[in-house]
Amino acid sequence: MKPVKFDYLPARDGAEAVRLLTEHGDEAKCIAGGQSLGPMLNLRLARPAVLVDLHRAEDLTGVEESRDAIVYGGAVRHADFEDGRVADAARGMLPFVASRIAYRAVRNRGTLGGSLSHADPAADWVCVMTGLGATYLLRGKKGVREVAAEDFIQAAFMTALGANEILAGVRVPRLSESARWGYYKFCKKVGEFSQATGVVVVDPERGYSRVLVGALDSPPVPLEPVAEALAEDGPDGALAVLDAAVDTALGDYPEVNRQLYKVAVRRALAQIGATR
Amino acid sequence: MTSKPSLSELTLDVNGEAVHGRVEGRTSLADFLREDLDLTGTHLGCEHGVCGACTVELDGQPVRACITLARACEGRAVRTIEGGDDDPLMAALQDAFMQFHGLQCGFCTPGMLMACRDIILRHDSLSDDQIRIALGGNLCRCTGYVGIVNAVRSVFERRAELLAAGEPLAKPPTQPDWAGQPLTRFRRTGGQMQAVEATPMEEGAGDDQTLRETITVQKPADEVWAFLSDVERVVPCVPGARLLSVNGNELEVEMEISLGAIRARFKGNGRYQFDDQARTGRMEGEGRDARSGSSAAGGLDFAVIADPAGDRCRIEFVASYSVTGPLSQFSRGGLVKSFVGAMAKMFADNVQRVLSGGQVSDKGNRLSVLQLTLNVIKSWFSKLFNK
Repeated sequence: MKPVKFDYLPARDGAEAVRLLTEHGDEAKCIAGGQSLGPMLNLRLARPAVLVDLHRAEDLTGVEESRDAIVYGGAVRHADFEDGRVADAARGMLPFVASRIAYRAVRNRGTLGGSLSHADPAADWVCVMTGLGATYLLRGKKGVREVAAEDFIQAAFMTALGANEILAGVRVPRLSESARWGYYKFCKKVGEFSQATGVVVVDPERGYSRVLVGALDSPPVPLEPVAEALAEDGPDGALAVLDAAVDTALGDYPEVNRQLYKVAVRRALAQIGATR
Repeated sequence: MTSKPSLSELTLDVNGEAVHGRVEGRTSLADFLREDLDLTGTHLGCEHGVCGACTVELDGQPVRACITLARACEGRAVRTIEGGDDDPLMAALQDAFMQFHGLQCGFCTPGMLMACRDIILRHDSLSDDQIRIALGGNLCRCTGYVGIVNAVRSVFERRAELLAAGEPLAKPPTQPDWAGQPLTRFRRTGGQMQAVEATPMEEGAGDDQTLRETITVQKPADEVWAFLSDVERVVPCVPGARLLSVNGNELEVEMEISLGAIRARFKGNGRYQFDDQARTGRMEGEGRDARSGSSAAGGLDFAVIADPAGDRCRIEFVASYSVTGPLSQFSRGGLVKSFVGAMAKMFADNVQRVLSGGQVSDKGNRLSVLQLTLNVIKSWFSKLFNK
């Protein structure tokens, strides 16, 4: 239960991290909070020769606020959201979600960028950032490029990150005053992986509506008819088309699983005012 | 890669005293505390962040010492269970654990106490449910938690008397209540995503899995067969595979797979046989990953079936794969199936691409079967938390 030997290289900033990753190539791996990679290292499932630590990189731990959006550094921790040490772009959604990730001792170390780069389809941030329509800032040798949340995760544990790129930041559009959000996850035990996740984000002022099922074997899947109905007919209208939309999107899943996903989204819709 | 241990200076504050040490990059905070400083009150249970026995405070916040690298704590303040002697809250918790039978064997107790102290510090109100939820990351196999919850509640009731004024307080984030407030109707102009149909990974039985893949190619069967029976051209179409040498119908092949943070390079021997008449063939091989000591074996059967139209044909692949050794946890359940599935699909894509004059996708170099890791997490880390 001890990791293989590796060189530990703390990066002062994102640029240094990219330089170190480039220098050490395939054998290098990034670590930030280490709450996913740490267990894999201890179990020797991951055996990097070089570990580049991002958790103290100055430009990755900050937050930049603008009128329409907030950019969170990749190394901002879950507990920073939970405790309100960073501003919330989503009218309470980010602290609410953060406070229910794993356990407090994990939230004190685990980071937003680390969780997204690890790309577990059941991870809270994966579902929430896709729901909010966030944009990821990937820093590489040639500078920073932007990738939409829904395009970032290509499959479970597979992202758009290039070999020498890091997830430097996440830009979350600010929800307007009339916006609402719902988030529900089924966990067999507190803090464990979600079995089924429902995400609802609706923002009338911005004309924005997105409804997702998450914690699948693949990245979150949109329920477009539900999102349409939510905008046009409100939460109850969305509920009316939910079951059919899940059956279409997850047709190959066993009925018991589909039921779990339906209920997760139904409860997320109930949070924003669905009454049925 | 470094072969000899390279030690680095480490300075941190432990229980109020400056501490110096020399540690390897891989040394965890828990090992540094226990092995170098003899602070054995920090217990190591699962060593992968699940059980909570190793919980210590880092800059005043509880963390898992087993998955926190010592060097990541450079210059910071650590408090272990040994550092709680002068703390009235910790003293009260210890008394309460005794009074309410909050421990039996004591293995989880140091981590439990560190977590309980944090729970009382951060809350201004606490129901039994909240205590249980907050303790979800600390496992006790003796008490059934009843004694622990009672102990925490009894100390929480004395919170004001035990804590100095001005201790930080966090309000648990809650959701706004929108019940009964109508939501504005609007025309949707944002948030659209491309609809996709998600398919589940099936749980397979046994270790050796097979998977079928069929592709249709807009080329005559003869031309396709000529390509498929040319090992030097076809092996590179297998994702991550490299042909090292050919001797008769014996092959030496290297194959690299990458699953998120997990990498393996299998080197081994293979063989092939082709039936030009029937336009069927089989390639198989077995290899070993020197780093993990795991072995893998796989086979690929293929058949080219001419279309009556003559200008196109169908290729049917049947792939199989098995893994033994330390990496064999991947071969449980749906893992091999999804692995082989991803591989067969990519192989088929590559074949199609090369036949239509293109190049093998460079994605094949880093076999994109990271999907597999999902099942690794499901089987291996099923008790792990979600981050």
